[in-house]
Amino acid sequence: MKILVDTSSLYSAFAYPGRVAILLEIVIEEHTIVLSDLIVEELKRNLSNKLEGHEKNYALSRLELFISRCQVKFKDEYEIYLPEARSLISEKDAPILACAMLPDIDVLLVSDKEFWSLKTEKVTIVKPGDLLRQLI
Amino acid sequence: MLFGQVISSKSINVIEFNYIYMSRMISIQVRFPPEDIKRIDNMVENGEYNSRSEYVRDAVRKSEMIRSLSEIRSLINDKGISEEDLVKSGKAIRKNLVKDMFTNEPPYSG
Repeated sequence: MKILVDTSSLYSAFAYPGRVAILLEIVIEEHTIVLSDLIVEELKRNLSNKLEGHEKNYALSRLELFISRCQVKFKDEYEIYLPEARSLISEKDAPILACAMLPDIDVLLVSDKEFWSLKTEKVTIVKPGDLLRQLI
Repeated sequence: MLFGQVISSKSINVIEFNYIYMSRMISIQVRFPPEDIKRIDNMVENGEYNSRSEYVRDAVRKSEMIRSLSEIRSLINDKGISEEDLVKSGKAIRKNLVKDMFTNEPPYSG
């Protein structure tokens, strides 16, 4: 499966060695993690703002390595789905939903509740707990 | 393999790509216990991987990803940064980025 992983799930894996971290390890082992250009940039800026000096440089180098091993989707590929996504969710989250509408994305993994109540046939939206149960 | 065959320009491109890709690889010798080699060879025979090398490259890739996550987590934990901190600042960053990347409106300054 190709799984688009939103930052909300990645932040959880960054913060705790818990359920979401275990889920991501299973996904890394058996599936393909997909990120979008927006997700990549948000992650970089957030870590840059939170850390300083040597820690910041080291965290960014680890993040770059992680990203280089994922598949990254760019705006040019998914912006055709933006109008539809904007009709379903807030402006700031529409690019994530639009990216998840790409035909080769199987699942959108997201911890943000705003996505969970969405009703669209183009995207399969899953919570970390549900995907973990599905995969183990 | 190429002599005597009609080769399309597309297949020449693929051969060129493979040559460039492979020429950027560095060969190393790695020793494995026979039982590991047997398992790897079974996966190659089953079509999960094209070669032993591909299996090893994939294993290194996965290992690096998991290790990167773990190292980022250590740095975040050492600084006492919580998931809530990351989510809250992430939302503000995303709002700003979306305005920069997807609209012509001036960037969010909140």
